[in-house]
Amino acid sequence: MSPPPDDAPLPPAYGSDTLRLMVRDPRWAHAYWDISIDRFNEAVGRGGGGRAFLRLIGVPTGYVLVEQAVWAAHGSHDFALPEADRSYIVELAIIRDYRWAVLARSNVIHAPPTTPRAPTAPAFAGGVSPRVGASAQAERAAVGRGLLGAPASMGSEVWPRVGSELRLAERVSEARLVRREGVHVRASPCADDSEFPAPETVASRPRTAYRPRRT
Amino acid sequence: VSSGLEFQVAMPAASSWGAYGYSQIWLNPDNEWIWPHLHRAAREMSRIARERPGAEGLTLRALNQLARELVLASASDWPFMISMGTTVDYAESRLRTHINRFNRLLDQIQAASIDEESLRRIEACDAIFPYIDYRDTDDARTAVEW
Repeated sequence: MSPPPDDAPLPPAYGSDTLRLMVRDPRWAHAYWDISIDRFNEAVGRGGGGRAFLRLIGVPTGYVLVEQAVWAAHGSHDFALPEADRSYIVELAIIRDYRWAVLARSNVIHAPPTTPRAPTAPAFAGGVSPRVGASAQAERAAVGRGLLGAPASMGSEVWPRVGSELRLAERVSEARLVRREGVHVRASPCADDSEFPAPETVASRPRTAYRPRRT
Repeated sequence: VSSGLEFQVAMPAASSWGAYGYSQIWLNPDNEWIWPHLHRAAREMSRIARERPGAEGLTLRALNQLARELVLASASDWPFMISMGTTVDYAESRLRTHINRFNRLLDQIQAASIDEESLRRIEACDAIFPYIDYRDTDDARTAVEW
């Protein structure tokens, strides 16, 4: 008998006793499970006395957020996540004789946020908080010589608390690059270098304050 | 960092260049079927690489080819092409091909009955990464999973 072709259909399952949860976006996650048929049947009960459920659980609260009945030893299910920027886990649990038993537990996922997070740490900007690299040294030197004032949006030791995350994003954008008296400073480590000319080309330009185009 | 000064810590959010900015392109109802196969292959690759760190001869060739098949199957192009609906048949065929080759090679290695002629054919078909070393995949599980 000749072997099957290389692109023959794949096995529907491997019986690998796996339950995985995958992030699709801030609001959706995808779970699949692949339990050996013997183990699944044993847990449910040969006579069908038990029922299997996928349970979406919040981490670290442990609250069961969604319960979805499942009927097979392998399959998949999409969960609508109640909240973005939160962690979740899924269990495959069997209820039988009024008792729950966990058959498999997934990895923990963290749904990404839908908006920039509020700052919680000291800022990298200003003359007090240190920054990494030659550009930071150049800026500190410039501040020391009075050539460069700390921009309003980055002047405090602690990043100013702003009312909205959108305003924060605008401030980051504003603070990307400040040039005065021929000193080229990359004002934020999150600056996109491709957006700005290299320092040597900046130095040859007219001495005007540069402000990046706001989008 | 060794200066002891305080630095701001950033936590990038999971995102992508794909449509809608997250993982929908690579994980949606059209292509989600690939992930159980890829995850299982990555787990098996890690396991066998850890179990057999000193393979030689035919087993070494088979293990290296096993790693090639895993890398080829893991290309993000396949789920992307399936999502875009451009060359779906080709992408699905390539995925099935690399997973099937992986599974058969794995079975042969574990049964210590490697079919050299079949291995030679696969090596000729998937001759990419000539210097691949299967020992580097002993943590492949974490590379493919997220």
